[in-house]
Amino acid sequence: MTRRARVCLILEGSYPYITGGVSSWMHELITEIPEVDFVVYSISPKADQKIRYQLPKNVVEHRDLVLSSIRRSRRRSPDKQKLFERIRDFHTNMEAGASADFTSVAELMPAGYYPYRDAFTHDVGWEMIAAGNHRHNPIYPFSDYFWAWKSAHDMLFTIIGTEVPEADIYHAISTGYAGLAGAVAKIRTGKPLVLTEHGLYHKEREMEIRRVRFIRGYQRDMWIKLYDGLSRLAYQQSELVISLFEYNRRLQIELGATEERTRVIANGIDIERFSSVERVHRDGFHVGLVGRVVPIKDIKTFIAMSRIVKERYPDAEFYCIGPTDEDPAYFEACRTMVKSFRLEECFHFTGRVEVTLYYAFLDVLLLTSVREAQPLVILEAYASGIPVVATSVGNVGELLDYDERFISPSKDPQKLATAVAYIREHPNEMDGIVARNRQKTIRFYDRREVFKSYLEIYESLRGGQ
Amino acid sequence: MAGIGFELQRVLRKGGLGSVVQVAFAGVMIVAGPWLMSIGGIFFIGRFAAPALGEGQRLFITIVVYSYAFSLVLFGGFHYLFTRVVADQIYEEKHGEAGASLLVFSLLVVVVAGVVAWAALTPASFASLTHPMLFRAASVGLFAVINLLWVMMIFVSLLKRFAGILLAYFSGMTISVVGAVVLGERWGLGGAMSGFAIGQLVAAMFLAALLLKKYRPKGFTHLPHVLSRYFGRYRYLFGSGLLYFWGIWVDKIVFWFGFGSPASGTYLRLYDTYDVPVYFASLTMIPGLVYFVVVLETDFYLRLMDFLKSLQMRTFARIQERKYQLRNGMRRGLREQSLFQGIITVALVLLATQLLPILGVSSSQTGIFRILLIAVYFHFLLLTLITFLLYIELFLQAFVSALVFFGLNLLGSLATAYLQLAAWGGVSYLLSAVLASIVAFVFLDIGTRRLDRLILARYSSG
Repeated sequence: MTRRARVCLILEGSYPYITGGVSSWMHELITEIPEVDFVVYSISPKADQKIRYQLPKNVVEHRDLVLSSIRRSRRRSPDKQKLFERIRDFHTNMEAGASADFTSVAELMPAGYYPYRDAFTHDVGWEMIAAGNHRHNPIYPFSDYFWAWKSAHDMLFTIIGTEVPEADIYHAISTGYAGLAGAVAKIRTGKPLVLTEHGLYHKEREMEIRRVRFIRGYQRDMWIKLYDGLSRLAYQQSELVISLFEYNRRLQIELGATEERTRVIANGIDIERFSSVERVHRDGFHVGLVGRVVPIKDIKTFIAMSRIVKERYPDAEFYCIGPTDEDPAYFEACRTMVKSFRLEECFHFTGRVEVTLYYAFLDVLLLTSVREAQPLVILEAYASGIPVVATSVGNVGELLDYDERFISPSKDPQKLATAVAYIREHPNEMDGIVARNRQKTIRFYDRREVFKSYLEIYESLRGGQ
Repeated sequence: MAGIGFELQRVLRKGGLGSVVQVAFAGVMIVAGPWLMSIGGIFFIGRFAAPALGEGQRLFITIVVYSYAFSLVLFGGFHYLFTRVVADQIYEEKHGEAGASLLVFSLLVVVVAGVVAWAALTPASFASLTHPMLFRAASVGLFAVINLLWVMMIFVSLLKRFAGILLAYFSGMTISVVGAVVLGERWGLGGAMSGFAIGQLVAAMFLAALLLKKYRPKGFTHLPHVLSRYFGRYRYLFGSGLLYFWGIWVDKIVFWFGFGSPASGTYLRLYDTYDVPVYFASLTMIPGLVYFVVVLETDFYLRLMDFLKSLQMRTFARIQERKYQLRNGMRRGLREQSLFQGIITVALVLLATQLLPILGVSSSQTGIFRILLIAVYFHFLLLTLITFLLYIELFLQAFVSALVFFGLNLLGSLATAYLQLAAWGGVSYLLSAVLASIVAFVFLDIGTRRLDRLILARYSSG
């Protein structure tokens, strides 16, 4: 009898602690491939988070690595001088945008060795920091540069120094720290690494970094370069780099992924479940948004749009369908906004509910997110027979056939309201579009096909060992 | 704790011969108060009250010498650790806690020292004395009081009232002498020892009153718990204190038992041929110590503070500049101090033949005395280097330096005693002080060169 395949899923800041698109996808992947044993290796910003999913039976191990934790070294580098010279070369190449040799760095840093202090007390490390400071921060306090450098590198050292779980295949669900852990696992064990990116990690981080005010100047560049470097590293080390749609695949190639090793596997949905939704007519005009009440979904733009639509169509009702407990402060701000716009009667926060009950009567599904990869709610709405209006993020353009009537820039409630009104004003035309979208979804976005593809990938990689 | 040095510098800046004399006198008392008090006391008692010690002057001196030696050998490590506790409390402006720590630590030391001394004197027989129990009790008391004085010494450098400090030592010494004479006449050696101990106690109480006035105890300090926590964190600091004092005394102790003879009725031995020159040679360290407290330590402290501030808020170039100034200032200061102390040592080496008869020491001990003078010179250099290592918190390096000092002195003195090379007394002390100074200097040089990263590493997690 052959041993069951053991796949280590490496995740950062998502499953099983955070609910959301990636986590749901992850949970389904594990559930839908029962013939494989999974090890969940999660990378978390803090310890003791609440597990929000019932781990399926084929999850044979769950290990959580807390990024902020500082660990005590149990081992030493076989050659510190060489290690820090390699790290210096690695930095130089990364800064120049050239390919950098991470393998020899990882080989000189055995599991259990965390050079939090050695990195700057060693002569080579110190010279490297001094040179970096000279280049980027010559006229400001050195301590600013030093602590920024240290906080960035300590997390990397934590990842590299931590023993990886045993597995036949390592599957990172993003680049960044998860990708780094995957690269380390591959180098240490010689087992293959697969990378699936729902969004583009470095792009998402860059957006966040540019938004926050306290990271400025060279620190901003440093963090952006760091995340770019981590993505580049993960692309270089992966046997297979998977994206959800073509545009992202091109960007991955631009940042160093080898074209032949890239592949698009779009996300899929439970076609049976959503195509069997029985549509019922309900009086009024019902606009819904399915998603968590968090800033990234930009619920406030949905509320602002609701006000415009309500003025035009007094019978309109609005539904924010999704959990409200993830960011209580943001939820409270949204409720205040609803109140100040006098929309309490027609705007409903449903909380966590069975979405198909709403898909049965919604007239429009709205997506106001400022960031998405390939939003499944659009596919769910299509399969259920609901027209969609969405912001131009991730793969939305492709899903909406680049039809400008239904696509809006982010944070533009007026344009969104115009699109929603168009749907209301053109019911006959919309019937045709809805039918086409439904067919397209059923044909190309069946999640069973997605998970079948992953099983095939696992089998082929395991067979190649 | 470089506080007193700044105060003395302020006096010095007033100018005039009076200021120099005042600073020199105050400096001497601060660096060597208890030490000089005991020497002065014994000298005056011996000179003016010889009948009081008639029952056994050697026994009296033996008890005094052992009290000084073993108070440091047993508790020296704790002194270093306690100094750190107090320094932290004062840095955090917890003056009430510092006062409470002083009280609790004093109490602990007195009790433990009393028990240790009582146990140590149990096998001794003082039957030849007229009041043996009184002598025993007074000896135990003296040991406890001397320990108490060392504790006060830890704080004394924080006091700016050096007139008060001088008065404390002076009144202590006077009472010691008068007490020894008066009580000695009545109760023999037991009375003399009681009088001597009471004088020391008065000095300790005087200092305690000054200290507790400034650091009024407030709150409850669970000192054993604090000390054990500090012990975990600063075990090398403790070790360096312990081994440094062991290093100072080990050759003397080995020679007591290798070459010396017992004080009557006890197993406690002295070896006058070595002890007396050692005693006088050690006194030559005092000018250097005063120079250190007034000039070198304050200068080093200021430069170190400058450097630490720059590390927090200056550019890299400015930090390197401050580091260079620290290193440069330290090297120059060491050079100047070594020259200053060197002149004194060389002069005394050259004048040893003339000097020893004045001190009542046989001219046959000139050779040993000269070796000891040079050994004390390096011992003082080692003390300076270890103090600097402790300032920059290189505790392990200070510990290793002290270990070299102790280890080599132990081996050397054992070899000297085993081979019966009495004329070579002092050579092991000299060699160990020289080699330990070299080791400490190398550590200090490397440490200050890498000081920026060492300090950043200290404040980094991991």
